[in-house]
Amino acid sequence: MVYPEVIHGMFVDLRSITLDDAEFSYNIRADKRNRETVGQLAPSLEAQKDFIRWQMQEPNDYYFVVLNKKGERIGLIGAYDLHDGMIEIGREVNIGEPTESMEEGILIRDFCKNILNIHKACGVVYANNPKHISDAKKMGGVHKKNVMRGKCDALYFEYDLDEDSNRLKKIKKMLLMLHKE
Amino acid sequence: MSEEEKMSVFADVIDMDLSDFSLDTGLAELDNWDSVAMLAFIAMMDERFGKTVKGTDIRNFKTVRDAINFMV
Repeated sequence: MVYPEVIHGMFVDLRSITLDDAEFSYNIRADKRNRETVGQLAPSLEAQKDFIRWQMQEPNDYYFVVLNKKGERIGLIGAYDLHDGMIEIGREVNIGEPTESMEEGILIRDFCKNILNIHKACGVVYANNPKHISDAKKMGGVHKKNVMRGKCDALYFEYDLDEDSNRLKKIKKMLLMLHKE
Repeated sequence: MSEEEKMSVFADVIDMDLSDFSLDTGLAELDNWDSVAMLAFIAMMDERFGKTVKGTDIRNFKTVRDAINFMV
C-alpha cells in the first residue's frame, strides 16, 4: 500500500517505496553489514521488483525508504501484517547515523499510532543478535515468546504504542537535544 | 576528568555497573552497547564535552578504552 505523504522527522524522512527504489533496496538488504538483521533476501533484483509491486497494492502493508536530510536513501522500514489491532514493524535496515536509525523507529511508531490509529505493534528479532534484542527492550518491547523466522530462532516482542517507556522518553529527549538547526 | 570518572560516565551511557566491564572489555562483548547506547554516547559527548561525534567514529571503537580515550 502506498502512503501518499512524506513523513518528516528531525533527522530523517520516510516516503513510500517505489519501483525506482528496487535496486537500492535490493543492495542495502544484501549488504553484509546488514545480514544479521535482515530476513529472507530476494533472490534477484527482478524478484525484489516483484515484491515491491506486490507490496504497493497490498492493503495494510506499508514500506518506507528512509532518507537523511540531504535526501540520500539510507535505509528501509516497514509496518505490515495488521491483524487483531496489532501491526508488525520490521524490514528495518539502516546505514546512517545512530540519530537517524533511532528516529526512523520512532517515526514509524508514530505513523502506526497517529495515522493508522493502531495501538499495539510487534516485532521479531533474531536470537543471535543480542544488541538488537537489547535495543528492542529499550524501545519498550516486551518479550512474549520465542518463534522461528525462516530457519532461525527469534524473539517476538510486543509494544504498547500508547505508552512510551521511560527509556523511549529519554531517547526522544536526546534526539531533541542533538537536533540543531 | 579522571579515567575513573570517565568510566563512571560510560557506565551510565551503557546502563551497566562499573563492575561489569573493564577498560579492556571489547564492545562487541557488551550487549548493552547497542544503537540506543551509541545515541546516548553521542548525546553525552555533545552535552559534556561539546564534541560532535559521528557514527563512523563510534563504530571504530573496539574496546571500552577507545570510548574513554575519546572523552576529551
